Amino acid sequence: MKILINTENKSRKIIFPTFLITTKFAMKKLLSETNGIVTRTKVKEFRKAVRKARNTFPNLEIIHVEEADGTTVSIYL
Amino acid sequence: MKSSFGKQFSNLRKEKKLTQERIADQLGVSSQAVSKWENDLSYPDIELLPEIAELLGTSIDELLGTKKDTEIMIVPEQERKHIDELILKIIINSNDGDKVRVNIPVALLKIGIEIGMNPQVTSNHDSLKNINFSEILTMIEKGVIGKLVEIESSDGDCVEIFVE
Repeated sequence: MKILINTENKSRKIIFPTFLITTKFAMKKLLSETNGIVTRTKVKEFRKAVRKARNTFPNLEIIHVEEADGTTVSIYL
Repeated sequence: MKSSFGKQFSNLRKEKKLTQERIADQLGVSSQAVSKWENDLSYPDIELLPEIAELLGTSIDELLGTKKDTEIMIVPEQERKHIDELILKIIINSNDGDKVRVNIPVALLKIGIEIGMNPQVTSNHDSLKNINFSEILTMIEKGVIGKLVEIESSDGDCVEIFVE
């Protein structure tokens, strides 16, 4: 996953492996905050869907924010 | 697909149950001329277009096939894209000048909803609070595409949701 942040003064590019979100972080967050709706199987399905979406839409900009002060944030799948 | 003038003219004439002769009489042209229009072999004089549109109870835009398609459409089952190939686009233009664009693969939205993730909670944007993404997903699964939601809130924020 890639995050680009452009402000008036500087640009930052953060790249990190998607599995960090789709495994440890997501599992902990989802399992604790959804009262058991989320199961490990569902998370595996979600990870699979993410991989599939990345193949179907390579480098998809999933979020693009342009703030009034000119700061832009782009998050790519 | 854009319809030809002749085809459009012919369809509208038949809908109005008018004969070529009757149209010809009304417009002061020969019925052969009307026949040629319908077969796209020739076109009426541009000055006749308002009168033709009035006769057929339509607009010049519709007559010429230049009217924009409706923004929302239902795709027949055999022509639908697979859900994995669709993207849900959320466009938010805030009153204070912020612009947010979100592109979510519909397959991800689906599984996200199944596991209890909710885009309106995630975004924390007021204009999204009353949008039921489960209903939107149901619409998408039934073949609805295009602009599904357009909201202009009283504070000037504008939210649009499309499926492409």
